[in-house]
Amino acid sequence: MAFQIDDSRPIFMQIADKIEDDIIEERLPEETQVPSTNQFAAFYQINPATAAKGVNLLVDQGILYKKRGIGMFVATGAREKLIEKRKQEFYEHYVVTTVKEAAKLGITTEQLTDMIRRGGSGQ
Amino acid sequence: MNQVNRVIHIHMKQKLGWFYLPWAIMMFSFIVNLLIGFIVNGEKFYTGGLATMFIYMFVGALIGVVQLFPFSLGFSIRRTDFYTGTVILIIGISIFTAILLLLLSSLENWTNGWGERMHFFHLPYLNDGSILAQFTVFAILLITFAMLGMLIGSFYLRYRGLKTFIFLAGIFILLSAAGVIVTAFDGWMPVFEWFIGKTAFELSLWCLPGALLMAIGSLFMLRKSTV
Amino acid sequence: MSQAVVEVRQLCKSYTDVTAVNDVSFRMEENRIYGFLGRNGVGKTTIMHMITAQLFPTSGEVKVFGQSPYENEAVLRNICFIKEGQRYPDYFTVKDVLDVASTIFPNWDAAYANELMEEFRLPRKRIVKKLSRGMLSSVGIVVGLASRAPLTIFDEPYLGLDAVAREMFYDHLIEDYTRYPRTVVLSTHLIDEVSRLLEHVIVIDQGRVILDAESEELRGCACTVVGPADKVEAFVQGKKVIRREPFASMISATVMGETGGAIQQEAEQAGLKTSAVSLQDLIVSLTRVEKAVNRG
Repeated sequence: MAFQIDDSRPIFMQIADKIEDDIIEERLPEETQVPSTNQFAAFYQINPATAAKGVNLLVDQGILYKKRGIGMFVATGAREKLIEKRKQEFYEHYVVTTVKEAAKLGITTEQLTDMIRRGGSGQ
Repeated sequence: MNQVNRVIHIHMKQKLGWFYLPWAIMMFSFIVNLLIGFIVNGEKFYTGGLATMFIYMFVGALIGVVQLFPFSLGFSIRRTDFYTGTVILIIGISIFTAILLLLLSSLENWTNGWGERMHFFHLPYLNDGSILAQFTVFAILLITFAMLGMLIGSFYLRYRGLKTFIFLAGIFILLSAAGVIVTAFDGWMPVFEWFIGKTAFELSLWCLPGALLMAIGSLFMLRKSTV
Repeated sequence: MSQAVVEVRQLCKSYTDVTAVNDVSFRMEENRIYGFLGRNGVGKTTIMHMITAQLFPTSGEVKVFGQSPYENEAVLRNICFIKEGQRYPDYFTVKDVLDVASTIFPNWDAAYANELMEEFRLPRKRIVKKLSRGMLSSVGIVVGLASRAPLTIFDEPYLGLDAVAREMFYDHLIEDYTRYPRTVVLSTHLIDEVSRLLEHVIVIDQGRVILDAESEELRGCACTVVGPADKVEAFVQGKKVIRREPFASMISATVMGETGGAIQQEAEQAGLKTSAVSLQDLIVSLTRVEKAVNRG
């Protein structure tokens, strides 16, 4: 299974993240149908109520929407919305921590930007 | 199918204990005796082979209850349904067996003891009286033996090993004590006379209240039994 | 609140020398999967026997589908209790057991039972008492799944089963449960394997309920922090510490917080190393503390 459940967070959040990844990486393009909660449950071997909770989290955020009697679909504009959200998270999780750690090690802002440039060019 | 039928269905899976084994042993005994009859070729003799059937009713009921009760309880069957099913089965098998024994007994009579050889199914005293009386004697005796087996089995399920042993020992001591008292008061003659004065049919009727009491006792114990 | 399938109130079971179940109360709702967890010999099986009316409570009340289960056919026919210690008659074959099960459980699916038999490679004609431990467990799993009983209880259903067979069980359980929702109770000590299947967990220790919570709420509610003793002590001040192990000048402490992940973030911000606590670790820690308290 390509998906490892991590013990530090509720599973429904991880399911929501997984669907978000699929939307961002366009494995689930906008206006396509997403698997049913039962399919998620069977595939990841998790409780269907948990899978439903994960899906509903995205429905609440307007990422997915319900078509009565058919199933769940990716909303138009969902990808853009998610990328915006992830950018914000990226800043909070990575940039802020990186800067903090750099300060601890005495790395100046210039040295840090230089490192980032080098990292980007794959050296 | 209601619950009682289900219990009978479960019992019928144990046909080996209820049917095949007792009949196999009894028929084996019958054939051996018949062979002896051929070899000896003397006077007609009596055998006790028929007792197998009665002992097996006791054993069958005992084992049936002890083995099938925990299984049935584990499979969501009510205690009372298990009990009712078992009692119906016991009565059914007893009637069935009594009819078969009666047929064999008639056959034995008709062939004059399998050609002047032996009494196996048709015994004096036991087989006196009308066909109906003979049938009743067989059926009631079979039922009584089975009820005794069920009673001891139920007692074991309710109170488990050590207490069952004490219970059986207690009954044995009571019977011995009764014997001692009868002896002490020189009472054996009236006791014998009482028995001798009764026909097998009358005596078998005397078993009925006993069988009934044992059946009621089993119900009370099974209703309180656990796994 | 949805309908209570099982409702247990102040349940006690004592024997002459021990109290096996002590003032246990909980409820189980319709169509959910419950984990009934705890170490061996803490009273789980005794409680389940009382729920199914196979044992009598010393005091307290048990209601199943709103009624007392004792000698109650309407209740009992809707329960399938697969237990480790199920007794089978001497001459019963696997086929006999399935045959009996098919007449007892109203929702029995014979085709599904056959499919499961194939998958678990069960020999139909083999006498049950001659099966290996793993095969015996498989018989229980087949009966439990194919019965589709509104209340299905599995008590240590997979003793002797290898990882492949256990995976098969989990797959079937989830798949069949989504198709035919019912209340499932899984009692086991292999908590890590089943935790993702459970919607709710009830943890029993020494005859009492020590935890009764949604499993998703428990995920990430605890974390283990490691760091210098003074720093750790400052962090855990006022928090519920369920395990504490000193190591040289360091301390490793497991603390319980409120909701998912929050406590871990807090610890990281305080500059402590953290690691996630699985449901199994959490329960191990909780059941250990209980012991330490009793000793002291």
